[in-house]
Amino acid sequence: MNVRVQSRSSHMILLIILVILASVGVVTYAQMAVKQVEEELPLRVMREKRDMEQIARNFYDFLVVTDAARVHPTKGGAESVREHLRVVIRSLEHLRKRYAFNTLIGASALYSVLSPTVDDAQLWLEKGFGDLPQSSPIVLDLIATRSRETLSRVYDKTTEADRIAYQILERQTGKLQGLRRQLSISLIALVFLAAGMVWLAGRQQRATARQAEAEAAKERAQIQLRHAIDSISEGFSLFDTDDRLVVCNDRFIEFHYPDGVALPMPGTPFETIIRNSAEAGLIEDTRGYPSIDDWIAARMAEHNMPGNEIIEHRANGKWVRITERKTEDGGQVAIYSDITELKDRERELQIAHAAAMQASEAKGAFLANVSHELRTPLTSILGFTRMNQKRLSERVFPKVGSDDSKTNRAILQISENTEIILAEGVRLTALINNVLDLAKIEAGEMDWKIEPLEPKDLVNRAAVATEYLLREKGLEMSIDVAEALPLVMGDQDKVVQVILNLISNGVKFTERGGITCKAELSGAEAVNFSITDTGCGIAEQDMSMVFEKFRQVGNTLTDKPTGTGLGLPICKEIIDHLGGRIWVESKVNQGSTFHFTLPTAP
Amino acid sequence: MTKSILIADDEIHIRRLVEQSLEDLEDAGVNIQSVGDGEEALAAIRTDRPGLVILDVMMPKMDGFSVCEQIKNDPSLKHVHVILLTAKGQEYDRLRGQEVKADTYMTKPFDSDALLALACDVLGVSI
Repeated sequence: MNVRVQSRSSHMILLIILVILASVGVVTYAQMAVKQVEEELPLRVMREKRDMEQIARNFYDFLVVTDAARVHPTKGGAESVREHLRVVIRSLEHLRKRYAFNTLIGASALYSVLSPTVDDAQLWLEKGFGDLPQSSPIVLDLIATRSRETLSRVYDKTTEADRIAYQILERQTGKLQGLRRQLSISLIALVFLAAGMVWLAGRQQRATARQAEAEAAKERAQIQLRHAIDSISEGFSLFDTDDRLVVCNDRFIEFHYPDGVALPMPGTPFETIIRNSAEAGLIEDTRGYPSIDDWIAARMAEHNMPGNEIIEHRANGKWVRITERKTEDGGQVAIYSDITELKDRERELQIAHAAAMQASEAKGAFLANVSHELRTPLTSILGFTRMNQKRLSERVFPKVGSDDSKTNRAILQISENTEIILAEGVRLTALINNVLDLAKIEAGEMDWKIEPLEPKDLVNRAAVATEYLLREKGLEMSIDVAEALPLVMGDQDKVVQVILNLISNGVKFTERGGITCKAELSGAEAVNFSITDTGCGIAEQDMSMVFEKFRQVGNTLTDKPTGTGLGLPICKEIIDHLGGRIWVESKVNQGSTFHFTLPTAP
Repeated sequence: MTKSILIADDEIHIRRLVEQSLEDLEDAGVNIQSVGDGEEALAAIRTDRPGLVILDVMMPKMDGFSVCEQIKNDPSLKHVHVILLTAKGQEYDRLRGQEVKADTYMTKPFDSDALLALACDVLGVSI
């Protein structure tokens, strides 16, 4: 529960209580004020005034009657005087009872003024005055005089009472106005209070609404995250800094609780989860440890220093890759991937690889064996043929007579035949070498020793080895290697073999003129070698076939096949492998130039 | 070093060929001996100390490389000139030959004239 919301609502309650109290206070005050006003109501004043005026009138009437009776004494008159006096006495008594202790405008003062006179009048009327009897007209005179004087004082008092009554009423009005003002102020204050309440309520509502919105948004975000986590195809788990489970997806649960009966609650410690799995016998790896606790200790050690991935072997034969990473705030994320398929494929690959290696080894051994097997009888054939040739020409033929033409012819034939056998034997050797070389290159069995080489050196070696070929045919060799050429990357033996091959090819197809070997820079990254002959050239339609295997240029029926058809393809294989290019330019009857490039050494 | 040659090859025809190639040296007083396997070769070399040894690489019991290695590691036999004769022409065979410190590496089919010339050179004999 949001603490701020709580304090806001308690503010509200406080405010409501305040308002209620204020209202009660205002109403009570108003009531009290009104009550106060009621107590001083004009009614009381008016009543007192009326009473005072009444008694004043009664007294005036008494005076009038007394005056009349004095002037015209009658029996009836005396009775009337007594009657009026009785009225006055009654009124006076009334006045006394009413206003003795709570006079507002001076009724009690009036009483004090009237009372002695009235008492005296009563006394005199009953008892007479001194020696004078009560019927004496002097008594009436006295009473009249006395009353006249008292009446003046009575009028004073009533006038005074008027003034006081006015004052009181004025005060009342003032008070009422004041009260009205106060009530207005209170009302305004209440209105403000109410407005304040409404505003606060509004604010609270907005805050609550925002709160609710935020909560809803948070809720939505959480649900979104939840869905995202659940949709991950791998097991996902997040642990907090105390190593307790925060959230995980179904796949993770599958890994640790496959029967789905027990589910890990958020807050479960990591160790508990893995202990659960270990004890349930889900993890094959535990077998490699003396006890489950040992495995758990090892696993926890890895867990606390995450970085590498852990490969777990499960009892159901599955393989799991677990990657654990620490998060920024100290928690830990673990991703479980089922790599059983991967592992199976890995194993299959290993088996296939081993098989391939074996096959390759077998092939390599076979090639080596074939080489050996073919060369051995060839050695005997060539060797003994040569031996026979030597023995015949050095020791036998000289001893044989030269008269018989048939014998001589036989000797010549034997010598020439032997030459043919030797030549063919050499050709066979070359063919075998080429076939085996090609097979090795194609099988990837060829050994390559790639190193920086000096172009001039390469050309010279090949030239030296083919010197005798040119000499035999009376051809000239010229070498034109540019100065300060960079080193090239290649296998020395094989590059020399290529140049050698190209030179001997050139010699083969050239009857007069010579061979030129050139080497120059080709761009910044390669050196271009070219071997030019002045031979018969290659026809346009044959150019594309030149580097193809087993093709001989020219008519194989009429032209003597002098090559194996493998030399140029092997050159191409070699140059291709070394990262260069090989091609030919030629014009029929003018000659050919074979080019190849090699990359410069870095 | 004696003026003698030892030929070691398991193929009888090759032995015969090499013997015939070097025949003329016999007239110059060089003794030529042939054996059929590596062990015999090593024993014969140790006993007779020939000046030139021609070893085939593919031999039973002990191959040419091993025999050569043994010879070259023996201080008393270091100066024997060893020719490794073989049908194997691959690079690593050549390297292996260098490793065991063979003096010459010849591939079959070989040039018998060249072999004779080399033998004359090594033994200091002229024909």
